Amino acid sequence: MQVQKVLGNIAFFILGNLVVFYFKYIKKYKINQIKELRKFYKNIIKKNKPLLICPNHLTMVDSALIQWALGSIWFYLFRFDKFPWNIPAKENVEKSVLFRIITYLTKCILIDRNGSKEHKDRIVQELAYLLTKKEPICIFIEGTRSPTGKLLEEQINYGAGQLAYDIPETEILIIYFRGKNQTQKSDFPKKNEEFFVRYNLIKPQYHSKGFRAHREITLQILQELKNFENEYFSFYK
Amino acid sequence: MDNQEIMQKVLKILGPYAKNKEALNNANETTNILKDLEVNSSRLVDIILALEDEFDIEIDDSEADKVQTVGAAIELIKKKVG
Repeated sequence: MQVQKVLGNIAFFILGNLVVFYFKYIKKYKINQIKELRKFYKNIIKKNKPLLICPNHLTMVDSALIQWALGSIWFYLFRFDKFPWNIPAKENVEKSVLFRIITYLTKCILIDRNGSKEHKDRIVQELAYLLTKKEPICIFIEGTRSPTGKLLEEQINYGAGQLAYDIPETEILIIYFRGKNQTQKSDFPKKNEEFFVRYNLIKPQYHSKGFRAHREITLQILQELKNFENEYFSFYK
Repeated sequence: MDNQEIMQKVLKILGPYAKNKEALNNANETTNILKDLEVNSSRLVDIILALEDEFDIEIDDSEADKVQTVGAAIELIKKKVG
């Protein structure tokens, strides 16, 4: 991972600018209140605590959009350690050599969703290690893009809860990020999309231990996302 | 508590999570929870916790990993309940 990070940092100026150019000038995406969110993120990372970022999941490029929303290219160039790690599904990346290179250089750890327990445990260990090093990690608790356009409650996994439980002082930045025209899942948001963004930073609260605590924490994240989703639908109904 | 009684309770817990209702209705001790009942693997934690609550037992990580079939669940519960 250290090698991956160094190579990613070197490639970042070109890769990052290409991605932002594509989002801003080709797709013409607009993120509402981006300055406020970036300031919020900077204040969080000043605390230098382990940080999980838990957004909702509707498009294939949600991670990249959220990375763009949280920081500018110049910010990440000098603080590449605060460019969040991601955990994309292996099957979505392996199809293309280009995708594999891009995901390698952009701090992605590939997970095989149908993989063995040993594989998944190894991924959790790697993520736990990164958290202890105060490197932020983006985890979609839904585990997959929602086909219905609503939060996939029946699919949520407790990986984020487990990490927050295992690594002391972990804080969780919950982000609801959605285009105003995004009705269901897609590869990319539509061109000219304008994004609704709501976010909150929580310190996990739990009264139990082990698996129950993992679930308790994850359900807190889910509740925050549900509150934001309700706000989104009342905003755009 | 005999095997049949335990199995009924286990199947009742598995019920809401099993996508394959036909397999659930025909379940026996060799029925695989993930493959046959088509339970989402993300829900295994909820099932383990529900078993703990129902039978008033504690199941650790390594024990939970071995619960792949209905029969394995029954054996574990019998061992814990005594």
